[in-house]
This record gives sequence, structure tokens and C-alpha cells, in this order.
Amino acid sequence: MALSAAARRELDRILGPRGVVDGAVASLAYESDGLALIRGTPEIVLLPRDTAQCAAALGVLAAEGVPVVGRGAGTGLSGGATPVSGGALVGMARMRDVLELNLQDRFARVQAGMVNVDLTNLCAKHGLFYAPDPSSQQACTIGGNVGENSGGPHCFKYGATTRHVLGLVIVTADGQVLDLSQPRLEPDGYDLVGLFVGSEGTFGLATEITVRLTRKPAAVETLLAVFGDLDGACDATSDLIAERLEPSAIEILDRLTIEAVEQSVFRAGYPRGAGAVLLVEVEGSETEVATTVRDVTRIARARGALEVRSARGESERKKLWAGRKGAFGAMGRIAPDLYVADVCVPRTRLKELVLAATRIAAEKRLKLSNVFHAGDGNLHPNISYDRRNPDEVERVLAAGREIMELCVAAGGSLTGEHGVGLEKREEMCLVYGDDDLAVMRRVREAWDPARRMNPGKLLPVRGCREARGASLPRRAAPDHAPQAHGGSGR
Amino acid sequence: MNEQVLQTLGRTFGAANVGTLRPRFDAAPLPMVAPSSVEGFRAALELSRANRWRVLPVGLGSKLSWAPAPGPADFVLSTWAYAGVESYEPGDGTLTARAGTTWAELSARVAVGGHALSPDVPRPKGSTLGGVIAAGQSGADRLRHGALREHVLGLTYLLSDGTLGRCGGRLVKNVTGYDLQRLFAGSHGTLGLILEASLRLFPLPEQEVLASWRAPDRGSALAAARRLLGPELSPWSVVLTAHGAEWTVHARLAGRAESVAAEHQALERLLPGARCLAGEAAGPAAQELRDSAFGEIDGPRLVLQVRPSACAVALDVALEALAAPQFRDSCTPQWRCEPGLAVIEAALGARAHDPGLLAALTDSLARALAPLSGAVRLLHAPEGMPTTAEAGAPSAGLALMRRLRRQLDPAGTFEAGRFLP
Ligand SMILES: Cc1cc2nc3c(=O)[nH]c(=O)nc-3n(C[C@H](O)[C@H](O)[C@H](O)COP(=O)(O)OP(=O)(O)OC[C@H]3O[C@@H](n4cnc5c(N)ncnc54)[C@H](O)[C@@H]3O)c2cc1C
Repeated sequence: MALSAAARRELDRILGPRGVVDGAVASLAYESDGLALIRGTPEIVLLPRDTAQCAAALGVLAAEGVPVVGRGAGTGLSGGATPVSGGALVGMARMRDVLELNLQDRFARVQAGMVNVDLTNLCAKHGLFYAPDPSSQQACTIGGNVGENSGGPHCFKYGATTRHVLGLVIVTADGQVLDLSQPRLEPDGYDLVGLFVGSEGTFGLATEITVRLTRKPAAVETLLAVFGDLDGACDATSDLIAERLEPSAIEILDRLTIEAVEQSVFRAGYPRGAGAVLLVEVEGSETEVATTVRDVTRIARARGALEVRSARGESERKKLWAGRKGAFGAMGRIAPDLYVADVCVPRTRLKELVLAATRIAAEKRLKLSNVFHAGDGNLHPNISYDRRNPDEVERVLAAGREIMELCVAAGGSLTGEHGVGLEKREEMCLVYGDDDLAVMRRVREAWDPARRMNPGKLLPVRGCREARGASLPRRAAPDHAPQAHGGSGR
Repeated sequence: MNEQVLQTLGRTFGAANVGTLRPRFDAAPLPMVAPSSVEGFRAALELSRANRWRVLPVGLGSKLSWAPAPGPADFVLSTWAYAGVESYEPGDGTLTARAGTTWAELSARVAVGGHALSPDVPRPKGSTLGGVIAAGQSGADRLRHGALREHVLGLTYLLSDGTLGRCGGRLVKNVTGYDLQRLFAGSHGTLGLILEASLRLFPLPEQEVLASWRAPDRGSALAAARRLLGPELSPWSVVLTAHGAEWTVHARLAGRAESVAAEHQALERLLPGARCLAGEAAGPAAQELRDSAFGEIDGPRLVLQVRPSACAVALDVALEALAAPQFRDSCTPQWRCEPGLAVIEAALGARAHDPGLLAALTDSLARALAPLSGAVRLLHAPEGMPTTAEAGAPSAGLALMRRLRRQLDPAGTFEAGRFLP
């Protein structure tokens, strides 16, 4: 599906020399997202500067019938931003402006390529922050967060991205601009903004995003509860939920993760040798914080915590969080590659399912670590491996799938925050039936009748009944055929 | 009433099972069936397809006039008999129930495990789970909990072609597939029938305080509300009501006992002279306040939304508009305002039924409030209002909304004329 020379000239004219990338640079720099197991080569990479450029470029691509993949920072872990061959990749890297900062009504309107942490830094001096805080926040974009409906530790209290998006400007597949940027309490008509968040680039591209800013709480306290094993930390979490306590974040790190973090630049002062730590942040009024801290401490002790302590001051608090957020990076010390699984389970069954994941990894002779958003039941069993070992890669993928199946069978979901993308699209059949998926396809076609936006992502390519008949391929290649460089990984 | 529809429904469901419902206070009654099984709903939709009948989906019919007047419907399909809790998971803080279960029943059920539902709806005995979601109704507790559509974790729905579908799930966090629940919430039954829903639950307050303070004038009422909405408190709701020129501030504190006690002290400082009800009496009093604000249908209800910082200005604009000579005689507005959310409501009274006059009112308010990101809606609008001035007429994305509708309900079974102009 090569671009015509005229179309290419038109794109050059619209985007200027810095806005069009192709050839070897394009294929190398953009061949995959954070899920490096699957790669592709884009025909062309477009980097618009604003909504108008993006719309004009998409208009040209529409006329040529070229598929479009949106890309923020490419930190996604499910292959959402993997290029499709013969398609265009539209990157948001040059769209990082703040368009409006309204302190009185506490919202900001930003371009989609703005990096998550920059937004929080921008409003910090006004006593405000942007609540969704993925661990990748130093790199990932607000647009990518919208694409995946991303979460983060503090989403336990504040909710995932969708709760914080008040409005969007969307460029649709045909190059039209849909302006839904008015921050309204209630949508006019259907909630198109809510529907768009989490659509993984298959409905259109968000170019401008209006987000809610949150007032910093009066008081904050960060607790570190140290456990001899993972079971105690999981049980304590289930108890916190059952007692309906409302801290702002409840995270667990296991022994292997603690060791990796403590040996890395993210060293946070987690106790070496501990089986697990529970990191709990409590925010609110002074009284609220004091009572919740008291109750969290009681529960942690009752579940066998060896020690429960509060961060002394802001700098220790920051360190504890930097360690948590740097954990995936720190795992690089254990093995060259890390497979990050992402599943959600009922919070009554945390211990049981974490145990089961450990068992599965052990059976397959794999090294498993856990660092996860426990309060939301969002597990991340992480498997360290070496991509140069094809047999190990096979075992990693098999373990990933087994863990997913087990969690779904226990009432869990395929993904809590990383999205379906390419990685889990065939597994959608574990959760939904053909009828459910057919309705999702119908909705998708209302946005993009030609199905040119991020084709082959999120929805299974084949019917579930058909796929079950033929037994599911473990990782199907996308229909727009990026080359699966078998056995490579993050 | 269409005799043929009545008879056909009677043959399928048994004559004794076909009732009637008046879709609006000023409209003729329609035949109604209320199946108690999925097969029953499917059979009703099959009949409607075979006969090209239009179906008006309802729960108990309490919020029908919240959206623009339904177009001509041939019969009413109610979910009220499809009721019951499927699962309440106290350890996970989630609830899954059938659409016809009343809000009162659900609240009572989860209270046993120390949970509460959001929103706080008026008349919970007359509201069903499906109806609350379809109407997209949030309550004054939104200040604390966020909007209803954020608490809907998953749905089971039935489309007019008989497709029984599911989206989302029962978990508090989940990004598996499109968030169709966000599309169904607030869709007023125009896309399909909601049959089952899962909700996120909230801790039942251990302690509550309902404070009310009679302000000398509107300005002091708004100033008091601003103090209550500052960083010192996190109230469950802050509502202003007016009787004539007299404004009252109502603030509800609720949560853990120690926090409420501390907040209560702060409130007494911020709002000296407030009358406070605490403990057992506070909950019922708050419910009564909600119920009385949304009285029996007594004419149209104007709803204005602006940015929070523009609330006082918008209130001025609205008061002034309704004081104009042409409205003074026909409208007897009862005002209600939630300054934290910047929602202003006026129940206009039973004499406000002239469609032309009301259209002029909503149009002029929409124009005046546009610079403040304002939106104007008219609930319980009388028949004959021109569509553009009707409740919630969307501006941007209209073509896309129509395509979504056509994708999910190609035959237009679920009221083609409703909701979208
Ligand atoms: C170390 C590490 C830690 C992580 N921690 C977390 C975490 O705590 N929580 C979490 O939720 N995720 C986490 N992630 C995953 C990832 O960072 C998030 O999914 C993030 O939101 C992706 O943002 P991005 O800008 O990199 O988007 P990309 O990866 O570039 O794109 C993500 C998806 O969104 C689409 N997209 C991108 N921009 C737009 C746009 N403007 N409009 C429409 N669609 C668009 C893409 O097509 C793709 O489908 C982590 C990843 C890493 C590598």
C-alpha cells in the first residue's frame, strides 16, 4: 500500500521537513513499543505540530487508504503502537504544548504529546497535581494514557485516566476534527469522550486533551510495612479492602524486586531480606490521615508485619516512591529482558492467585518477581528472561498465557491497565463471546468505517468460535503483518 | 391506545401481564409489558421487529421526561420485573444486579456489609438500577464520589436485534475492550436495553452531620458555600435552596466517625449559627431534602451547568432572565444550586407550559451562558418544544452519535425521535 508520489509531496508540504521521517531511521526508531516481542516497519512516520497539521495529514492518508497507527512515547506494553507494514505512524512527539491552564476551575488543556510528569510539575507550584501516575510517567504521554486508559499507584483512590479526562479534540480517520474539548460536567448526548478513552488508537487520534487537576491534600503519610513473605502482604491488602479503608495507594513489592531496586540507582531503603513490603500512602485531612494510618498499621501487624514505619519527611517519601516506580527498570539487573504481565483479580483472591503465578513460573523454570497495584487487584507477575534463548522465550509466553487464563477463570480480567493491543487480542475470546465482540466492532465502525485506525489491535481478527475450533494460536501475527521477530523482548 | 398492539402483546405474554404506562404526564397511556426473563425481553423485541413497532424502554418510568420527548412509541418495555441481586462481594466492594432492582433495595442490601451506593438518588424506591444508569443520573454526592458513569464497572445489554452482549466486568479496575458502559450510561434507552449492571461501592458512612444555615441573602449563601468547599472540609454535598428571596445552605458531612467529628468542628467555625442534625436523624433528613427538591412532576425543570468559577454569575443571569415580564406570570421558580459542581436548577412550576415561551427562555440562556462553557437543559419539557431547544441537544459529534445509534439499533426500534435531534 505504497504512498503515491503526490501524496508524499503533500505530506511534506503540510508537515515540513521535521515532520516526515522515513527510511532506515523510521524503521529503527519506531519498530516497536515497550512490547519488543513484536516489531513492524512503518511506511512513513509523521510528526505533526498541531491539530490542524494532524487533520490535514490524516486527510491525505485517508485518500490513499493508508492505515494509521498513533504513537505517544511508545512505552506501551501490549503492542498498541507497533507499526503496521505499509501504514503510517503518527507520532505526538512534537505536540507538547500547554494550551490552557485554568487554576480557578482546576483543569488544563494540553497537546497529546505532553509527557505525564511534565503536567504534574507544571501545576505543582499552584498546589495542584494530575492524579494518574503510571510508573512510566517520566516518559509516557497524556495521549498514550488516554489511548490505554492508564492507571498508576494513586489510581486506587483517584481512579484511572478516564476519570480525569474532561474533554478531547479528536482527529478522525477521514481527517475531520471532532472538538469535544469543552470541560462539561455532563456530556451533551452520548459520552463520546468516555467511550474514546481506552480505545487504543482504533477510533481516531486525540490531539488535545482537557484534564482535571486535583488539589493537593492537606496531609500525606507514606507507610512501609515489612513482611516475612508475600502471603502476609496480600492478606493485609485484602483486609484493608474488606474494612473499606481508603488510602490513596496500596502497592506490593516482593523479595526479588526489593533486591533489584536496592542494588540499582533507585535504591529506596527497602529492608533487604524482607519477603515483601506493602507501600501504603494515606492522604486527606489530618484526622483522616491519622485514623487511617492507625488502622492500616493495626491490620498489617495482625497479618504478621515485622515492622510498620512512616516515611520521615518528604525526601524519604519521594525515595520510597522512586523505588517503586523504578522497579521495572531495576529488574534489568536480573536478566536482560522482562516480560510484564498485567491482570486484574478480585481483591478477595490476591494471595491465592499470586501464589498460583509463582507456581506456574517455577514449573516452567522461570524467574518471577512481583511488583503491583495491590489495592486495585492489579497483578504484575514479571518474568525475567533472556531473549537470545528461544526455548526460554517459549516458556515465558506459555507462562504468561497460563497466568492470564487462571486469573480470568477466577473472575479476573485480561488487563488492568496495559491494554489489549496486539499482545492479548486473541485472548479477548477468554473473556468475551462473539456477540460481545461483534458489538464492539460495530461501535468501532461508527468511528472508523474503513477500519484504518490501528488495524489489527484490540479486537481479535478471527471469530472466537472459529479460533477455538482451530485452537488459539499462542501469539497471532497481526493482519497487517508486522514481522514477528520471534524471541525478542523488553 | 393501539388495540392491535395490546392484543398481540396479550397473546404472547398473557392479557393479565400487559399493563399500561403514561410515558409523560401529558401523553396518552401505552401498552406495557415487563418480562421477568431474557427470553421474555427477546420475545417482545421480536414482536417489535416483526411489526415494525417502536419500543420505549423504561425501569419504573420516573425519569422519562429527563430527555427530549420520546417519539411515537407503540409499547413500553419495562425492566421492573427483571430484578434481584446477582452478587454482592463485600470483600471486593462490588455489586452486580438486574436492571429492575430498585435503588432502595440495593442500598439496603449493601448496607449490611458496610457499603453505600453512589449516587444518592431522590426517591430510591421508585428508581431502578437500569433507569438510574440509563438516565445518567449523578447526585449531589458527586462532589465526593465522582459521576455515576465512573462507577459502572460492566453491563449486560440486549440490542433490538436480539443480541445479548456484555462489556466491562465486575472488577474495580479493568481495561479489557471498549468502555461501552460509558456509552450506555446516559443514553436514555436509545441504544439498547440494560439488563444487568455491576457497580463500584463506597464505604457506608459511620457518622453523618446535616447542617443548614439560613443566609440573609444570596451573596452570603454563595460565600458560605465557597468556605465549605475550601481545603478544610471534604463534604459529601453542598446544596443551596431558595424560597423566594430566602436562601438556605445545606451541607452534609459523612464518613468515618473521627473525621466527621473534626469536620463538624470546622464547619461550626466556617458557618456559625448553622443548625446541625447529627447521627441517626441526619440520613433521613438528607433523603427528605433530596426528595423534596425533586418533587412530583410539577412542570418543567431548568438545569444549567457552567464552570464552577462562573456559578454566581450564571445564577445572576438565570434569576434575571426569569424575572422578565413574559416569564414572571407563568413561572414560579424554585431554585436549587450545587456550587461545588456548578449546577443550577429551577423547577418552573405547573403553569410554565407554553412551548414557545420555554424555547425562548432556554435559547436566550444558552446564548448568555455559552461564554462560560454553559449548558442548558430543560427536563420535563412540554410536548411541542422545538427540538433544538430541548434538553441536552448535543452540538459537537452529532453525526457520530447518529452513526453509533444506527450501528446498535439499525431499525430504530428504541425511539428514533428521542434524545438526538
Ligand atoms: C517501565 C514501565 C512502567 C509502566 N507503568 C505503567 C503503570 O504504572 N500504569 C500503566 O497504566 N501503564 C504503565 N506502563 C505502560 C505504558 O507506559 C502506558 O500504557 C502509557 O500510557 C503509554 O503511553 P505512551 O505515550 O508511551 O503511548 P504509546 O505506547 O505510544 O501508545 C499507547 C497506545 O495508545 C495509542 N495512542 C498513543 N497516542 C495516542 C493519541 N494521541 N490518540 C489516540 N491514541 C493514541 C497508541 O496507538 C497505542 O495503542 C508502563 C510501561 C513501562 C515501560
